[in-house]
Amino acid sequence: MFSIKNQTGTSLISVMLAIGCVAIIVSASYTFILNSRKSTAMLLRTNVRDKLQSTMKMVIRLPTAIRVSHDKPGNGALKSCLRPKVEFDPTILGDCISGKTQPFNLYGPMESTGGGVVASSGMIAGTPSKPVEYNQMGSAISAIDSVAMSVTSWFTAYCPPKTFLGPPAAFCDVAEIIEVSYKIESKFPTAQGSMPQLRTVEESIVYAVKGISNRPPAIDPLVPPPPPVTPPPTVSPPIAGGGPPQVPPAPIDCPGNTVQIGPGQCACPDGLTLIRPRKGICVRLSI
Amino acid sequence: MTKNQSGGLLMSLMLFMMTLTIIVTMVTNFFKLNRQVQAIAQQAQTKSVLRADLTRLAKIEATLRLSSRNASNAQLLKCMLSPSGCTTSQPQEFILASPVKGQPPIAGTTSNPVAYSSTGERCTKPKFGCENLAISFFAVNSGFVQIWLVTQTSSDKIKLRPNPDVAVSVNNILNLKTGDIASY
Repeated sequence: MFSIKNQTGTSLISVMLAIGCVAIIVSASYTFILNSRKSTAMLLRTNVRDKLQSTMKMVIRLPTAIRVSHDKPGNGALKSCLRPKVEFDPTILGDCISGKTQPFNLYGPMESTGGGVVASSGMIAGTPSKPVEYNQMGSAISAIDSVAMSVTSWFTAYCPPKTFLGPPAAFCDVAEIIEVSYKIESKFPTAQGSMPQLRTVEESIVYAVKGISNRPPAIDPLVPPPPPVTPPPTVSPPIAGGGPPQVPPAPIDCPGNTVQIGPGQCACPDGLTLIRPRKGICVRLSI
Repeated sequence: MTKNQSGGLLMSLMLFMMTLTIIVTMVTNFFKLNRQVQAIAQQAQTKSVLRADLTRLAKIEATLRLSSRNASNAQLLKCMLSPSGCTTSQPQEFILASPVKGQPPIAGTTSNPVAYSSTGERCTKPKFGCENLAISFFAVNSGFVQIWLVTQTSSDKIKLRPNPDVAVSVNNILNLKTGDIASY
Protein backbone atom coordinates (compact mmCIF):
# COMPACT_ATOMS: atom_id res chain seq x y z
CA MET A 1 0.00 0.00 0.00
CA PHE A 2 2.69 2.36 1.07
CA SER A 3 4.77 1.74 -2.05
CA ILE A 4 1.75 2.23 -4.38
CA LYS A 5 1.12 5.68 -2.91
CA ASN A 6 4.72 6.56 -3.52
CA GLN A 7 4.53 5.39 -7.11
CA THR A 8 1.46 7.53 -7.85
CA GLY A 9 3.11 10.59 -6.30
CA THR A 10 6.27 10.18 -8.36
CA SER A 11 4.29 9.86 -11.59
CA LEU A 12 2.31 12.96 -10.77
CA ILE A 13 5.48 14.90 -10.05
CA SER A 14 6.96 13.69 -13.35
CA VAL A 15 3.88 14.76 -15.26
CA MET A 16 3.92 18.17 -13.55
CA LEU A 17 7.58 18.59 -14.31
CA ALA A 18 7.01 17.70 -17.95
CA ILE A 19 4.10 20.11 -18.22
CA GLY A 20 6.20 22.82 -16.56
CA CYS A 21 9.05 22.26 -19.01
CA VAL A 22 6.71 22.36 -22.00
CA ALA A 23 5.09 25.56 -20.67
CA ILE A 24 8.50 27.20 -20.27
CA ILE A 25 9.57 26.14 -23.79
CA VAL A 26 6.33 27.41 -25.35
CA SER A 27 6.54 30.69 -23.45
CA ALA A 28 10.20 31.20 -24.43
CA SER A 29 9.48 30.42 -28.09
CA TYR A 30 6.53 32.82 -28.13
CA THR A 31 8.60 35.63 -26.57
CA PHE A 32 11.45 34.90 -28.97
CA ILE A 33 9.17 35.07 -32.03
CA LEU A 34 7.54 38.21 -30.67
CA ASN A 35 10.88 39.97 -30.11
CA SER A 36 12.81 38.58 -33.05
CA ARG A 37 11.36 41.14 -35.47
CA LYS A 38 12.30 43.97 -33.15
CA SER A 39 15.79 42.65 -32.49
CA THR A 40 16.37 41.94 -36.19
CA ALA A 41 15.38 45.52 -37.03
CA MET A 42 17.70 46.83 -34.31
CA LEU A 43 20.50 44.59 -35.57
CA LEU A 44 19.94 45.85 -39.10
CA ARG A 45 20.07 49.46 -37.93
CA THR A 46 23.30 48.87 -36.02
CA ASN A 47 24.74 47.06 -39.01
CA VAL A 48 23.83 49.92 -41.39
CA ARG A 49 25.30 52.49 -39.00
CA ASP A 50 28.50 50.44 -38.58
CA LYS A 51 28.79 49.96 -42.33
CA LEU A 52 28.47 53.70 -42.90
CA GLN A 53 30.92 54.43 -40.11
CA SER A 54 33.41 51.98 -41.56
CA THR A 55 33.15 53.69 -44.98
CA MET A 56 33.51 57.13 -43.42
CA LYS A 57 36.47 55.99 -41.31
CA MET A 58 38.21 54.81 -44.46
CA VAL A 59 37.34 57.80 -46.68
CA ILE A 60 38.22 60.46 -44.13
CA ARG A 61 41.70 58.96 -43.80
CA LEU A 62 42.36 59.41 -47.54
CA PRO A 63 43.92 62.79 -48.38
CA THR A 64 42.68 62.20 -51.95
CA ALA A 65 39.10 62.53 -50.74
CA ILE A 66 39.83 65.97 -49.28
CA ARG A 67 41.76 66.93 -52.42
CA VAL A 68 38.83 65.88 -54.62
CA SER A 69 36.34 67.67 -52.34
CA HIS A 70 38.14 71.03 -52.26
CA ASP A 71 37.47 71.76 -55.92
CA LYS A 72 33.76 70.94 -55.79
CA PRO A 73 30.94 73.48 -55.76
CA GLY A 74 30.02 74.76 -52.33
CA ASN A 75 33.47 74.04 -50.90
CA GLY A 76 34.99 77.49 -51.44
CA ALA A 77 36.00 77.82 -47.79
CA LEU A 78 37.90 74.54 -47.92
CA LYS A 79 39.62 75.56 -51.14
CA SER A 80 40.66 78.89 -49.65
CA CYS A 81 42.56 77.06 -46.89
CA LEU A 82 44.27 74.49 -49.09
CA ARG A 83 45.35 76.77 -51.94
CA PRO A 84 46.19 80.45 -52.08
CA LYS A 85 43.58 82.60 -53.80
CA VAL A 86 46.25 84.57 -55.56
CA GLU A 87 49.57 82.84 -56.04
CA PHE A 88 51.38 84.37 -53.10
CA ASP A 89 50.89 88.08 -53.16
CA PRO A 90 52.18 89.62 -49.94
CA THR A 91 49.97 92.66 -50.35
CA ILE A 92 46.73 90.65 -50.20
CA LEU A 93 45.64 89.21 -46.89
CA GLY A 94 45.17 85.41 -46.88
CA ASP A 95 41.56 84.30 -47.21
CA CYS A 96 41.72 81.26 -44.91
CA ILE A 97 40.34 81.96 -41.45
CA SER A 98 42.21 80.14 -38.69
CA GLY A 99 40.26 78.18 -36.08
CA LYS A 100 36.85 78.71 -37.68
CA THR A 101 34.67 75.60 -38.00
CA GLN A 102 33.08 75.53 -41.44
CA PRO A 103 30.80 72.93 -43.07
CA PHE A 104 31.72 71.38 -46.40
CA ASN A 105 30.61 68.60 -48.72
CA LEU A 106 32.83 65.53 -48.47
CA TYR A 107 33.29 63.56 -51.68
CA GLY A 108 34.65 60.07 -52.14
CA PRO A 109 38.20 59.65 -53.47
CA MET A 110 37.22 58.37 -56.92
CA GLU A 111 36.96 61.05 -59.56
CA SER A 112 35.48 60.55 -63.00
CA THR A 113 38.16 60.70 -65.66
CA GLY A 114 35.74 62.06 -68.22
CA GLY A 115 35.94 59.07 -70.52
CA GLY A 116 33.55 57.13 -68.36
CA VAL A 117 36.28 54.72 -67.30
CA VAL A 118 36.20 55.59 -63.63
CA ALA A 119 32.92 56.45 -61.98
CA SER A 120 32.90 59.29 -59.50
CA SER A 121 32.37 58.31 -55.86
CA GLY A 122 30.06 61.27 -55.41
CA MET A 123 29.18 63.17 -52.28
CA ILE A 124 29.17 61.04 -49.13
CA ALA A 125 28.66 63.70 -46.45
CA GLY A 126 27.01 67.11 -46.64
CA THR A 127 26.52 70.27 -44.67
CA PRO A 128 24.10 70.57 -41.70
CA SER A 129 21.64 72.43 -43.93
CA LYS A 130 21.89 69.79 -46.66
CA PRO A 131 23.20 66.50 -45.24
CA VAL A 132 23.73 63.39 -47.33
CA GLU A 133 20.95 60.95 -46.44
CA TYR A 134 20.94 57.16 -46.52
CA ASN A 135 18.09 54.65 -46.48
CA GLN A 136 17.56 51.69 -44.14
CA MET A 137 19.98 49.57 -46.15
CA GLY A 138 22.72 52.20 -46.01
CA SER A 139 22.40 53.15 -49.69
CA ALA A 140 21.93 56.61 -51.12
CA ILE A 141 18.35 57.67 -50.67
CA SER A 142 15.84 57.55 -53.53
CA ALA A 143 12.42 59.16 -53.91
CA ILE A 144 10.56 56.24 -52.32
CA ASP A 145 12.92 55.66 -49.39
CA SER A 146 12.59 57.08 -45.93
CA VAL A 147 15.63 58.65 -44.29
CA ALA A 148 17.44 56.33 -41.87
CA MET A 149 20.83 58.01 -41.48
CA SER A 150 22.24 61.42 -42.26
CA VAL A 151 25.91 62.30 -42.53
CA THR A 152 27.41 65.77 -42.19
CA SER A 153 31.01 66.96 -42.42
CA TRP A 154 32.94 70.07 -41.42
CA PHE A 155 36.51 71.27 -41.09
CA THR A 156 38.62 73.63 -39.02
CA ALA A 157 41.84 74.96 -40.51
CA TYR A 158 44.71 76.32 -38.43
CA CYS A 159 47.16 78.85 -39.85
CA PRO A 160 50.85 78.60 -39.01
CA PRO A 161 52.20 80.87 -36.27
CA LYS A 162 54.34 83.83 -37.24
CA THR A 163 56.95 82.96 -34.64
CA PHE A 164 57.98 79.67 -33.07
CA LEU A 165 56.26 80.51 -29.79
CA GLY A 166 53.43 82.55 -31.24
CA PRO A 167 49.75 81.65 -31.66
CA PRO A 168 48.41 80.66 -35.08
CA ALA A 169 48.01 83.64 -37.40
CA ALA A 170 44.42 84.82 -37.80
CA PHE A 171 44.48 84.58 -41.61
CA CYS A 172 46.69 82.79 -44.07
CA ASP A 173 47.01 81.82 -47.72
CA VAL A 174 47.57 78.15 -46.99
CA ALA A 175 46.76 76.62 -43.60
CA GLU A 176 49.28 74.48 -41.77
CA ILE A 177 46.90 71.82 -40.43
CA ILE A 178 43.28 70.98 -41.03
CA GLU A 179 40.91 69.03 -38.81
CA VAL A 180 38.23 67.21 -40.81
CA SER A 181 35.22 65.81 -38.94
CA TYR A 182 32.04 63.93 -39.72
CA LYS A 183 28.88 63.00 -37.84
CA ILE A 184 26.50 60.11 -38.50
CA GLU A 185 23.03 60.66 -37.08
CA SER A 186 20.38 57.99 -36.81
CA LYS A 187 17.04 59.15 -38.19
CA PHE A 188 15.11 55.89 -38.54
CA PRO A 189 11.38 56.31 -39.06
CA THR A 190 9.58 56.40 -35.72
CA ALA A 191 6.88 54.12 -37.14
CA GLN A 192 9.26 51.19 -36.66
CA GLY A 193 8.16 50.35 -33.15
CA SER A 194 9.34 52.05 -30.03
CA MET A 195 13.03 51.39 -30.68
CA PRO A 196 15.46 54.05 -29.55
CA GLN A 197 17.58 55.89 -32.13
CA LEU A 198 21.18 54.77 -32.34
CA ARG A 199 24.01 56.70 -30.75
CA THR A 200 25.38 59.55 -32.90
CA VAL A 201 28.88 58.84 -34.15
CA GLU A 202 31.49 61.59 -34.56
CA GLU A 203 35.13 61.41 -35.59
CA SER A 204 37.86 63.91 -36.41
CA ILE A 205 41.09 63.51 -38.32
CA VAL A 206 43.94 66.02 -38.41
CA TYR A 207 46.00 66.44 -41.57
CA ALA A 208 49.02 68.49 -42.51
CA VAL A 209 47.74 70.58 -45.43
CA LYS A 210 50.99 69.91 -47.24
CA GLY A 211 49.96 66.26 -47.36
CA ILE A 212 46.77 67.18 -49.21
CA SER A 213 47.60 70.03 -51.55
CA ASN A 214 51.40 69.73 -51.49
CA ARG A 215 51.71 73.38 -50.56
CA PRO A 216 53.68 74.62 -47.59
CA PRO A 217 51.79 76.83 -45.16
CA ALA A 218 51.91 80.51 -46.09
CA ILE A 219 50.91 83.68 -44.31
CA ASP A 220 50.74 87.02 -46.05
CA PRO A 221 52.21 89.85 -44.05
CA LEU A 222 49.89 92.78 -43.75
CA VAL A 223 51.98 95.09 -45.84
CA PRO A 224 50.53 98.56 -46.18
CA PRO A 225 50.54 100.11 -49.61
CA PRO A 226 53.87 101.67 -50.51
CA PRO A 227 54.24 105.32 -49.47
CA PRO A 228 53.23 107.87 -52.12
CA VAL A 229 56.08 108.90 -54.34
CA THR A 230 57.21 112.34 -53.27
CA PRO A 231 58.75 114.57 -55.88
CA PRO A 232 62.48 115.08 -55.36
CA PRO A 233 63.24 118.25 -53.46
CA THR A 234 63.92 121.10 -55.78
CA VAL A 235 67.33 122.66 -55.39
CA SER A 236 66.85 126.28 -54.53
CA PRO A 237 69.10 128.73 -56.33
CA PRO A 238 72.14 129.75 -54.35
CA ILE A 239 71.61 132.74 -52.23
CA ALA A 240 74.39 135.21 -52.31
CA GLY A 241 76.42 134.78 -49.15
CA GLY A 242 74.40 131.73 -48.13
CA GLY A 243 77.24 129.20 -48.55
CA PRO A 244 77.49 126.37 -51.03
CA PRO A 245 74.28 124.98 -52.56
CA GLN A 246 72.78 121.89 -50.82
CA VAL A 247 73.56 118.82 -52.91
CA PRO A 248 70.96 116.01 -52.68
CA PRO A 249 72.45 112.61 -51.82
CA ALA A 250 73.22 110.35 -54.72
CA PRO A 251 70.17 108.06 -55.23
CA ILE A 252 70.71 104.40 -54.41
CA ASP A 253 68.55 101.33 -54.95
CA CYS A 254 66.87 100.47 -51.65
CA PRO A 255 65.77 96.83 -51.38
CA GLY A 256 62.16 95.80 -50.79
CA ASN A 257 59.95 98.55 -49.46
CA THR A 258 62.67 100.49 -47.66
CA VAL A 259 63.30 104.12 -48.58
CA GLN A 260 66.47 106.16 -48.81
CA ILE A 261 67.07 108.35 -45.79
CA GLY A 262 70.53 109.63 -46.49
CA PRO A 263 73.66 109.05 -48.56
CA GLY A 264 74.00 105.27 -48.87
CA GLN A 265 71.39 104.68 -46.14
CA CYS A 266 67.99 102.96 -46.39
CA ALA A 267 65.35 102.45 -43.70
CA CYS A 268 61.75 101.41 -43.28
CA PRO A 269 59.06 104.07 -43.57
CA ASP A 270 57.61 105.37 -40.29
CA GLY A 271 55.60 102.83 -38.33
CA LEU A 272 57.08 99.80 -40.09
CA THR A 273 59.67 97.37 -38.78
CA LEU A 274 62.42 95.72 -40.76
CA ILE A 275 61.97 91.95 -40.56
CA ARG A 276 64.22 90.82 -43.39
CA PRO A 277 67.28 93.00 -43.63
CA ARG A 278 68.66 91.33 -46.74
CA LYS A 279 65.47 91.68 -48.71
CA GLY A 280 64.51 94.94 -47.08
CA ILE A 281 61.04 93.79 -46.13
CA CYS A 282 59.21 95.99 -43.64
CA VAL A 283 55.90 95.15 -42.00
CA ARG A 284 53.59 96.71 -39.49
CA LEU A 285 53.89 94.44 -36.47
CA SER A 286 50.69 95.50 -34.79
CA ILE A 287 48.59 93.03 -36.75
CA MET B 1 10.17 -3.58 -7.85
CA THR B 2 8.99 -0.28 -6.44
CA LYS B 3 12.48 0.39 -5.25
CA ASN B 4 13.80 -0.35 -8.74
CA GLN B 5 11.26 1.99 -10.39
CA SER B 6 12.18 4.88 -8.07
CA GLY B 7 15.85 4.30 -8.75
CA GLY B 8 15.29 4.31 -12.52
CA LEU B 9 13.31 7.52 -12.36
CA LEU B 10 15.93 9.16 -10.21
CA MET B 11 18.66 8.05 -12.57
CA SER B 12 16.71 9.42 -15.54
CA LEU B 13 16.16 12.70 -13.76
CA MET B 14 19.84 12.93 -12.88
CA LEU B 15 20.86 12.11 -16.43
CA PHE B 16 18.44 14.70 -17.75
CA MET B 17 19.77 17.31 -15.34
CA MET B 18 23.36 16.48 -16.23
CA THR B 19 22.63 16.72 -19.96
CA LEU B 20 20.86 20.03 -19.40
CA THR B 21 23.79 21.35 -17.35
CA ILE B 22 26.26 20.29 -20.04
CA ILE B 23 24.19 21.94 -22.79
CA VAL B 24 23.79 25.17 -20.79
CA THR B 25 27.52 25.25 -19.97
CA MET B 26 28.44 24.64 -23.60
CA VAL B 27 26.11 27.36 -24.86
CA THR B 28 27.39 29.82 -22.23
CA ASN B 29 31.01 28.98 -23.06
CA PHE B 30 30.32 29.38 -26.77
CA PHE B 31 28.91 32.86 -26.26
CA LYS B 32 31.73 33.79 -23.87
CA LEU B 33 34.44 32.58 -26.25
CA ASN B 34 32.73 34.16 -29.24
CA ARG B 35 32.66 37.49 -27.42
CA GLN B 36 36.31 37.15 -26.46
CA VAL B 37 37.35 36.30 -30.03
CA GLN B 38 35.37 39.27 -31.36
CA ALA B 39 36.90 41.57 -28.73
CA ILE B 40 40.43 40.39 -29.60
CA ALA B 41 39.78 40.87 -33.34
CA GLN B 42 38.35 44.33 -32.77
CA GLN B 43 41.23 45.27 -30.46
CA ALA B 44 43.80 44.18 -33.05
CA GLN B 45 42.02 46.24 -35.72
CA THR B 46 41.70 49.25 -33.42
CA LYS B 47 45.36 49.00 -32.47
CA SER B 48 46.48 49.05 -36.10
CA VAL B 49 44.18 52.02 -36.95
CA LEU B 50 45.26 53.83 -33.79
CA ARG B 51 48.91 53.24 -34.58
CA ALA B 52 48.47 54.51 -38.15
CA ASP B 53 46.64 57.61 -36.86
CA LEU B 54 49.31 58.38 -34.25
CA THR B 55 52.09 57.91 -36.81
CA ARG B 56 50.36 60.29 -39.24
CA LEU B 57 49.92 62.91 -36.52
CA ALA B 58 53.52 62.57 -35.30
CA LYS B 59 54.76 63.34 -38.83
CA ILE B 60 53.10 66.77 -38.73
CA GLU B 61 55.68 69.40 -37.82
CA ALA B 62 53.14 71.32 -35.72
CA THR B 63 52.83 68.27 -33.45
CA LEU B 64 56.51 68.40 -32.49
CA ARG B 65 56.52 72.20 -32.35
CA LEU B 66 53.66 72.16 -29.82
CA SER B 67 55.22 69.19 -27.98
CA SER B 68 58.47 71.09 -27.54
CA ARG B 69 56.52 73.95 -25.99
CA ASN B 70 55.10 71.65 -23.31
CA ALA B 71 56.82 72.37 -19.98
CA SER B 72 57.22 68.62 -19.34
CA ASN B 73 59.19 68.22 -22.56
CA ALA B 74 62.05 70.61 -21.77
CA GLN B 75 64.56 67.95 -22.81
CA LEU B 76 63.01 67.70 -26.28
CA LEU B 77 63.43 71.44 -26.90
CA LYS B 78 67.01 71.34 -25.56
CA CYS B 79 67.90 68.47 -27.88
CA MET B 80 66.29 70.20 -30.85
CA LEU B 81 68.06 73.51 -30.26
CA SER B 82 71.52 72.06 -29.80
CA PRO B 83 72.82 68.50 -29.94
CA SER B 84 75.19 69.31 -27.07
CA GLY B 85 72.18 70.18 -24.91
CA CYS B 86 71.00 66.60 -25.18
CA THR B 87 72.07 64.46 -22.26
CA THR B 88 71.61 61.21 -24.14
CA SER B 89 71.01 59.96 -27.63
CA GLN B 90 68.92 57.09 -26.26
CA PRO B 91 65.12 57.22 -26.62
CA GLN B 92 63.45 59.18 -23.85
CA GLU B 93 59.76 59.20 -23.09
CA PHE B 94 57.84 62.42 -23.66
CA ILE B 95 54.34 63.79 -24.06
CA LEU B 96 53.29 63.93 -27.70
CA ALA B 97 51.00 66.94 -28.05
CA SER B 98 48.09 67.19 -30.44
CA PRO B 99 48.86 69.28 -33.55
CA VAL B 100 45.77 71.34 -32.72
CA LYS B 101 46.60 73.85 -30.00
CA GLY B 102 44.46 73.44 -26.89
CA GLN B 103 43.57 69.80 -27.44
CA PRO B 104 44.77 67.07 -25.04
CA PRO B 105 47.96 65.12 -25.85
CA ILE B 106 47.80 62.11 -28.17
CA ALA B 107 50.44 59.97 -26.43
CA GLY B 108 52.00 60.13 -23.00
CA THR B 109 54.67 58.66 -20.77
CA THR B 110 54.80 55.27 -19.02
CA SER B 111 53.63 56.87 -15.78
CA ASN B 112 50.92 58.86 -17.51
CA PRO B 113 49.92 57.18 -20.78
CA VAL B 114 47.04 58.35 -22.97
CA ALA B 115 44.21 55.80 -23.01
CA TYR B 116 42.06 54.93 -26.02
CA SER B 117 38.87 52.86 -26.04
CA SER B 118 38.36 49.63 -27.97
CA THR B 119 36.79 51.73 -30.73
CA GLY B 120 39.86 53.99 -30.92
CA GLU B 121 38.35 57.02 -29.18
CA ARG B 122 40.43 58.96 -26.67
CA CYS B 123 39.24 58.29 -23.11
CA THR B 124 38.85 61.47 -21.12
CA LYS B 125 38.57 59.55 -17.82
CA PRO B 126 39.45 55.98 -16.82
CA LYS B 127 36.60 53.63 -17.62
CA PHE B 128 35.95 50.07 -18.72
CA GLY B 129 37.27 49.33 -22.19
CA CYS B 130 39.95 52.02 -22.19
CA GLU B 131 42.68 49.42 -22.46
CA ASN B 132 44.72 50.80 -25.39
CA LEU B 133 47.55 52.88 -23.97
CA ALA B 134 49.67 55.17 -26.16
CA ILE B 135 53.22 56.00 -25.04
CA SER B 136 55.78 58.03 -27.01
CA PHE B 137 59.58 58.18 -27.00
CA PHE B 138 61.99 60.51 -28.80
CA ALA B 139 65.67 60.74 -29.64
CA VAL B 140 67.46 63.45 -31.63
CA ASN B 141 70.06 62.10 -34.01
CA SER B 142 71.75 63.67 -37.07
CA GLY B 143 69.35 66.59 -37.23
CA PHE B 144 66.22 64.47 -37.02
CA VAL B 145 63.75 63.98 -34.20
CA GLN B 146 63.04 60.26 -34.15
CA ILE B 147 59.81 59.10 -32.57
CA TRP B 148 58.80 55.69 -31.31
CA LEU B 149 55.12 55.07 -30.68
CA VAL B 150 53.99 52.26 -28.42
CA THR B 151 50.38 51.10 -28.29
CA GLN B 152 49.77 48.29 -25.84
CA THR B 153 47.37 47.27 -23.12
CA SER B 154 49.80 47.78 -20.27
CA SER B 155 52.61 50.26 -19.67
CA ASP B 156 54.89 47.51 -18.31
CA LYS B 157 57.59 45.71 -20.27
CA ILE B 158 57.95 48.19 -23.10
CA LYS B 159 60.24 47.02 -25.86
CA LEU B 160 61.05 49.61 -28.51
CA ARG B 161 61.62 48.64 -32.10
CA PRO B 162 65.17 49.14 -33.40
CA ASN B 163 63.96 51.71 -35.95
CA PRO B 164 61.81 54.71 -35.08
CA ASP B 165 58.26 55.02 -36.41
CA VAL B 166 58.72 58.63 -37.51
CA ALA B 167 61.68 60.91 -38.20
CA VAL B 168 61.13 64.65 -38.68
CA SER B 169 63.84 67.14 -39.63
CA VAL B 170 64.68 69.54 -36.78
CA ASN B 171 65.12 72.34 -39.33
CA ASN B 172 61.58 71.85 -40.57
CA ILE B 173 60.25 72.08 -37.01
CA LEU B 174 62.25 75.13 -35.98
CA ASN B 175 62.09 77.09 -39.22
CA LEU B 176 58.56 78.00 -40.01
CA LYS B 177 58.00 77.94 -43.73
CA THR B 178 55.40 80.63 -43.76
CA GLY B 179 56.17 82.51 -46.90
CA ASP B 180 57.61 86.00 -46.74
CA ILE B 181 57.25 86.53 -43.02
CA ALA B 182 59.20 83.51 -41.83
CA SER B 183 60.72 84.34 -38.48
CA TYR B 184 63.88 82.60 -37.45
